[in-house]
Amino acid sequence: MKEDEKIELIPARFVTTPAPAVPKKPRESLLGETLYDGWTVTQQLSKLKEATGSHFSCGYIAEKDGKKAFVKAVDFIDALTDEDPMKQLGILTAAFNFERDLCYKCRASGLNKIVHPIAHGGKHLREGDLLSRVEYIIFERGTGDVRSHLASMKSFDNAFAFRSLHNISVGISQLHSVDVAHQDIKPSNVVVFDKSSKLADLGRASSRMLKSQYDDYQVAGDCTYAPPELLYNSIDPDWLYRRIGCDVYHLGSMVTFFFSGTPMTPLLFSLIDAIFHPDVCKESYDALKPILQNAFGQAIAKIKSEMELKDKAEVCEIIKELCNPDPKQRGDSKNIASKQNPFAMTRYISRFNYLASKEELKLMGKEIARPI
Amino acid sequence: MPRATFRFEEKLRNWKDGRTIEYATELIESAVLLGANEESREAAEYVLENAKPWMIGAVTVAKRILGRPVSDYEELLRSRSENTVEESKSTIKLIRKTLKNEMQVPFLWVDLALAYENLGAQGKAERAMKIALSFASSNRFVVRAAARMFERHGDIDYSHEVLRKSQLLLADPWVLAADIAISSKVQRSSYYLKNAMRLLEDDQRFSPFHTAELASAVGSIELENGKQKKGRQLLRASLRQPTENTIAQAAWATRKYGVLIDLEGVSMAHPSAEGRALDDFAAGKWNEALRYSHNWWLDQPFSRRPAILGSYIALLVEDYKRAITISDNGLTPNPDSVMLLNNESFALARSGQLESAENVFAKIPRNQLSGDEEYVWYATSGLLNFRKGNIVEGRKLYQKAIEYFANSQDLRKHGSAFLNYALEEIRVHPEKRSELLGRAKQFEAGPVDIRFTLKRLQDFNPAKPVHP
Repeated sequence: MKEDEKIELIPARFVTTPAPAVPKKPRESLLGETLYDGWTVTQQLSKLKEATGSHFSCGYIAEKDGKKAFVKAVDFIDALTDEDPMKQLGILTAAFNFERDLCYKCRASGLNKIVHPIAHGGKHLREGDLLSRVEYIIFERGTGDVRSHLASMKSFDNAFAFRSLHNISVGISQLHSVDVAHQDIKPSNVVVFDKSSKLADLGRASSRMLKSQYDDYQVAGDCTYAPPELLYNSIDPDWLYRRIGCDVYHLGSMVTFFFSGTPMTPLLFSLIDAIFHPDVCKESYDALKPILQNAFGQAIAKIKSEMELKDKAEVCEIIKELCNPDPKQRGDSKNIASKQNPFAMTRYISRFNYLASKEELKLMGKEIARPI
Repeated sequence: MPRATFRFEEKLRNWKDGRTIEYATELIESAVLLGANEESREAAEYVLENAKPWMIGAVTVAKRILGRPVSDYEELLRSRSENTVEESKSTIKLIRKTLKNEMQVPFLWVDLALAYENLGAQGKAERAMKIALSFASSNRFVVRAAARMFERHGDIDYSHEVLRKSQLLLADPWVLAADIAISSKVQRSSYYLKNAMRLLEDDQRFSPFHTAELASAVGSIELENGKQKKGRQLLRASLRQPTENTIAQAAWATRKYGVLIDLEGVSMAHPSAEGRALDDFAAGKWNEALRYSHNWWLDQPFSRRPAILGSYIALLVEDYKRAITISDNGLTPNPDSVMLLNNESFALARSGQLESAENVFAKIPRNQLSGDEEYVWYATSGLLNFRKGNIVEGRKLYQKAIEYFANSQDLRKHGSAFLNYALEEIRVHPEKRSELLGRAKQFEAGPVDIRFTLKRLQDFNPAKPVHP
């Protein structure tokens, strides 16, 4: 097969011909620089990471006094060289300010299961050169995300899994309490710290008080992990179901991730014939629900069959509640039955706490009685 | 509304730069949704080699990317077995294993029901199908499968109830087609025929593929009611984007009504075994018809129709051992099938196994037979009596059947009854050969299988019988 024929077979959206050599952009050039309050950039993490539509950020590790932090850096080059620089500058600055302000709001509100900003600032890499300006936010840094943490485990640690899930559910609850929906909860956005896990990256969040460019987005976060109805364009106009409901699904997806190695949406679609996938199938979501329900049932059966855990029925019940393909059936089943807020995290927090405590005490050689 | 992306390029770059299990799983998670199997193949293989024992979900995604079965049941489905009884038993075992962990899997309940049906466990099949319906009463696949199954079991009322309760009856052409087809089979008129006509004529929402079976069902009714033009029109419409059923139905209509429908060039990606079996039968290609009826049976082991056709063809070509095997296979899920019991009994008698023939024949519920079935019973009873040496009784029973079919003007059954009688008579009274062959000439204009049987009779030498 000729090279150009081969490329034609691959959809354009993921052609990966090597990029020609281009000069480094300011956001890619922070290595060795000293930032606000003496933080020194010591390691570059990635060259390219999608931040806001077509605007990219770069990640770094910075160090100060033996401590390490994560740095997210953006520049203005792409915006200023766009066809409509004013529009792009507006998008870039709005997105950056939104994330920065939201992070500080979470810190001020004492939301301790959200990764906090330490500082923010800007720097000209070349004196007098406005185009060399880099804006950054410095975040507290953990030991890695939960995916890399699990990958490094020799044997599965139930206590760690349940405690992380407890932390995640507390983090979600904290955000919801200030009318913020995260929208992008996935393994790479759950950072492990010494004693706990925290939610990171509020760049795609939706807030009732702060306007975000993603408010009009059907799926604000990574589509790979989106609730299935959003991928089939079945959008609920109610902010509660569309945004808060998404976080609830993501929590169930994280439970699936911990106990099967992958979040719910990819697992679900690997059990559905490709002819019913969202990019191919144009049927209504209502018509597709039985197919999704069937795949969902198979996913649950698969997870349950492989779990070596006494509480596997409880874990699978939680996944069933949180990830139900029918969004109106999603959430706390008792609350649904009594027509209260189906997305309240209270019972999930206590269920995960109980499961975590049980496993932690098991590690210490003790037993715990289930709370009444 | 815009939406964010899958970040596939970023993940692909990370995988190429990093080659870790984290990057591999992140990549395949997006790939399975995007259908980017080629790009993520290497990452999928890496996951299979390096996944931790608890990463069952990641392994499933990787297998899907690589086109491998993701479960034992899927593996079983992919490996076609000639032994449908064993396959059904394995199916039941694997499905029940899944259902033990999670019950709300409606399509698996349908598969379970059909597997039970293949084994003749009608009660268990119906219970499983009802559970499937409780989970997915608004899914056309489940509703149609359930309606067809209850129809096969003779519970037409429940079959209609399933369709009506589904709330799809007025809106879904597939479900509407099932209602009309089932009503037509039991010679009832569907309440929804007018809805069907309206949908076919006025409703622009559905593509020809979605209305094919409905057009086929309504077209067949029009033909039965003598409306040839309308019937032909609808059957042609059903062939624009045909299903297996509509091709088979059009071929049947062409044979039965002499309706000229051009089936040349009409094809699906995989022509149905049923259609080909019927076509080859109509053309007198017995070996091919036998082969395709066998494939048809493999596709639908719960159905009696492929077994009835296959056993009949085997009898025609005097392959009695095969006729017995095919009948046996068909009787497992359909133990009360009169035609299958009849054909097996016939084959056993003709191959000299008289006691076995009588045992099988005794299973036919004599007092529940109606119409043609009763006179087919007389004819086969005539054969058994001839073979037992009760010539007078045998002759009397055959005569009853011959007279009935002559009056009903069913040339196939008339020819079959007469020619089989003639062969038995010539066996014991060779001197009657000329007279009987003279009377048999009337069947020279009969259907292809009767002409074939006539030829066999003409070639039959009582001094050297092919069979005992």
